Amino acid sequence: MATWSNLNLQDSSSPLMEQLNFFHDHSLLVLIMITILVAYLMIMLFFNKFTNRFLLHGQTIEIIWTILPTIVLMFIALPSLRLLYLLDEINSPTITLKTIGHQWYWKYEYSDFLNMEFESYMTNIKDLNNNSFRLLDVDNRIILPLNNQIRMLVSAADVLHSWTIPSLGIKVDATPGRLNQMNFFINRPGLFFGQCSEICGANHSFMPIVIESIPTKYFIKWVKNFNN
Amino acid sequence: MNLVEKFQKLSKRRSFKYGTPFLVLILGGSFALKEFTQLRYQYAQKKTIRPDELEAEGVKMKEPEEVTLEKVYEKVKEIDIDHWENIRGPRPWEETQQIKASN
Repeated sequence: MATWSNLNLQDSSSPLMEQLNFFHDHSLLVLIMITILVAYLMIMLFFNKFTNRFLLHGQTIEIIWTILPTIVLMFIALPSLRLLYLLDEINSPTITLKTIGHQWYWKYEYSDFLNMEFESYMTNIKDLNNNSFRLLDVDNRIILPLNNQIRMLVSAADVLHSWTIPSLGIKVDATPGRLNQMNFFINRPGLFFGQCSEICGANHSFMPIVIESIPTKYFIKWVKNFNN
Repeated sequence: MNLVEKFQKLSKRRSFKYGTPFLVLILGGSFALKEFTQLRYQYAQKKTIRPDELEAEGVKMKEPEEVTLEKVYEKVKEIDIDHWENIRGPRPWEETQQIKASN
């Protein structure tokens, strides 16, 4: 989860987020190298003693400094396109989770099972324990089985919201009158936090999302005990 | 054939003779490795939740054909999205309704 002073992406708990992390590191490296090169060139302008008052053109070097950046851009573009298509791959999900955004809470429904619906409100400040996360903890967490393809269907009932979990690399807009679909895969047990990402009124910052991922065996037990 | 001469001179240099195979191996190797590492995600057919497992525990799971995007959309279409109340937030000098109610 995000704590204060985090500058980087959160640790990934999904293979796609892992790939996004790698791509981020790779392109950031390229950008840092370019920045250092340009900064060096600009600083050396102060200390350079070479002067040529009659410089008009330099065809060779102009060709070089057009072709070389094109090659650098290919190094960024190819992994980017690969990732773009990887994110859109079709795989068969085992579980479907439907979420409807309201002002200012989320309502979840496990469409595969009968009558599994619940609402998820942020825990009030006065109800927090000493080990709870302020503004991130909810009363009912989404429980999901790990190592399963999960299909997410997102919509809203009043205004725009956005359902996101950064460590799984997902962000889906919840638009009233529209159903958006997204697939993801959790490969670690644990708690994953996210917050509503589309301004939706006074309590937009106070409708977080928490996923608790557990082994499939315990998930089945939880489903069985849900209606009791 | 200035280019050919240049290449022949270059291929005599030690840094080229040792450097190029090394770089090709390291960079190309990572591309080749990608083909192997993606096998895990490409062929993962094992579905960990099986309907018979759930029947054994006594949980009923709907058929996958019943939970398609289109069917869920039909259900979502029925949600009333037009009658919502615009709840005004408190101004900085005001107290929220909650605090007013609990006072």
